[in-house]
Amino acid sequence: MALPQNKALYLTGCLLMSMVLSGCGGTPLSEREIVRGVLFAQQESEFSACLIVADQDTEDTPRNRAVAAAGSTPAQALQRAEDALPGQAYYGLLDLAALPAQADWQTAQQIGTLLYDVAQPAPELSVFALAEAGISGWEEQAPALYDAMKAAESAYEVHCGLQQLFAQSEVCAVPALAQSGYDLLLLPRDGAPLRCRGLAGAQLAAVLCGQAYRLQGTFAGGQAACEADAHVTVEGETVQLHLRACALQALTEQAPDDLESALQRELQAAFAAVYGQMRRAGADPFHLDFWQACTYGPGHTAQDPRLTVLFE
Amino acid sequence: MKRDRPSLWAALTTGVLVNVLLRSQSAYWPRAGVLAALVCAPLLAAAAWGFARAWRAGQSPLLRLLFAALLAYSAALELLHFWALTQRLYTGLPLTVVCLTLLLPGVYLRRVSAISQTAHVVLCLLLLASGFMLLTVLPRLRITNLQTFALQPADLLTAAQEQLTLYPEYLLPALWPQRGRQKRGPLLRLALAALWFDVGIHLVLELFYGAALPLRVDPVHAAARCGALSVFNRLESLQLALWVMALALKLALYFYAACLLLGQTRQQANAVPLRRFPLYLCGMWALCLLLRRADLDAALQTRGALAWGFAALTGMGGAAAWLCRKTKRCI
Repeated sequence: MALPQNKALYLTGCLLMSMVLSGCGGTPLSEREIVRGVLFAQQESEFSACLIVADQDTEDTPRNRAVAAAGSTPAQALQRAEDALPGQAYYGLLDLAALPAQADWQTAQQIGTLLYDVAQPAPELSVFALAEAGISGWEEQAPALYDAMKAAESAYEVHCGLQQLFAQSEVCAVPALAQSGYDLLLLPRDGAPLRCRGLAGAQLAAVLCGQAYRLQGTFAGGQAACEADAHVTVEGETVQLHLRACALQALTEQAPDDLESALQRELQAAFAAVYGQMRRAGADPFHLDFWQACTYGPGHTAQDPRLTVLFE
Repeated sequence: MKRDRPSLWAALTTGVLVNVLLRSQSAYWPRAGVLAALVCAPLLAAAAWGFARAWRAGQSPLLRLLFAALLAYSAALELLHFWALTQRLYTGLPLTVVCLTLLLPGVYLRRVSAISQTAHVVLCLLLLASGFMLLTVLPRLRITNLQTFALQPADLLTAAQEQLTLYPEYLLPALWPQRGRQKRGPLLRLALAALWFDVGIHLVLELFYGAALPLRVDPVHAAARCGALSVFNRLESLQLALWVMALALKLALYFYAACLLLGQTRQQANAVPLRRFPLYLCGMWALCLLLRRADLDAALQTRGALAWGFAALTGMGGAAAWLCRKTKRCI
């Protein structure tokens, strides 16, 4: 029995809508270049951009390939890299952006703004900086660099979102790829960039910046190891670092007897050094002025903060 | 059973809330907004109450025509505002498509009962979706992103200026008669809901963006893009779909109000006649084409000024009518 005319029209309309909504008529997935990461490098005044693109030809294991181009600005380099792609760049699944190793605040802001405009931040997009070792060839190195940054983010539970580049007007902090663990780049607007290294430098700074909640690495010149969950509270001029589920282990016979004291001293020394340098640059990446202002009102700043390590 | 005169407060509330969500840029710092809202909400409610009294006391054909023109201008700006948003997100979407998407639901929403029922549903969904968005971006909200600079008078002035925007939703209640059982202070409730929702969204955005709050374009949509919950990682589409529904509802309400103003008969007061839709669609489309090159921010500011001017004009008319009646009684 034939359907009444209005029902047939209704079904046709539904079918048409479902086809449109399911993507019929859009660009096929195979013709899209799914960009997973955007990496920038800087050689003096020249920038190069590398797009990490999902290789859709491999059927068994997901692999990435790299397409790179150079330009006098990050925007020009990115545009040329896009042009070099055989298909249309699709940024919907972008999950990593990397800044040049020697990036300063202005470069970080420039690249961050560019990504906002061109790619638009996809969920869970994280920002890293490259390692200090130069890039010899994007095509060979870039997929491995992408994997290394994703692995470091996952292993050390450190995350810097794109919007965090802009959350403070005078400074931003970006984790950077390192041979072991990760470094942390502190980029003050009115000062020289500072690359913090190691557990006491980078990981402590990341915890204080709110980008990580875990310390995991070696201290005392590599003679002892530490694994702990870390949280920060601030009371007046005292910054309290709470270490929970802390496991300290001597790796050599020359390791200090009192590992807790050694770790505390190292963390305190690193904190004083980093805080002093940032204060001279007029930046407060650890938000200590925020807690002072909350307690004593706007305009009050931390004068001589001290770090206390509490093993819990 | 359908009521003859269903409540339209849900539609009005949806209209003012969607204004907040569709902001192309944040307007003020939340601390300033909190202080300003304490003053601005009663002021807005008082202005709307005064307008309603004056309208009932001394409306005239000229005022009705001006009100309808204000509604048409507002509807065109809403369409263009949403078109500008879609242009930023999906380059190349034609204005005609946006007009049809937002205006065609008006065919269903031509009955006032449909507007009322849909508004309750959309309002609930809008609040649920806003709560869901808040839940998904919760890990990215940082208390240290709150700004600690001392507020200046200029900050308070900016917040007050923004909050005192007189949207047509505040003026529309004057058009329909008061119903028997009505909540106390509905206009104050409407103003409070709008302003506190606005301040709340600004607070969430400040916790999200920190110092970059004034710089971000389409801040709510961008924040929604960054929210992900398990497999649901494209939540901005959900927000966008709801904003389309809310905007369609808002435009249907404007059209219904405009028809009431332009001499709809008493029998037709519960629905807009279907024969008026072709003219409405073509008229709005033509108006949008006419205004598409205009500076949208300036046009929205002009709309605010026009609304205040119109309210003042009506107030003067109402005061004159009241004086005449008093004088007649004395004589």
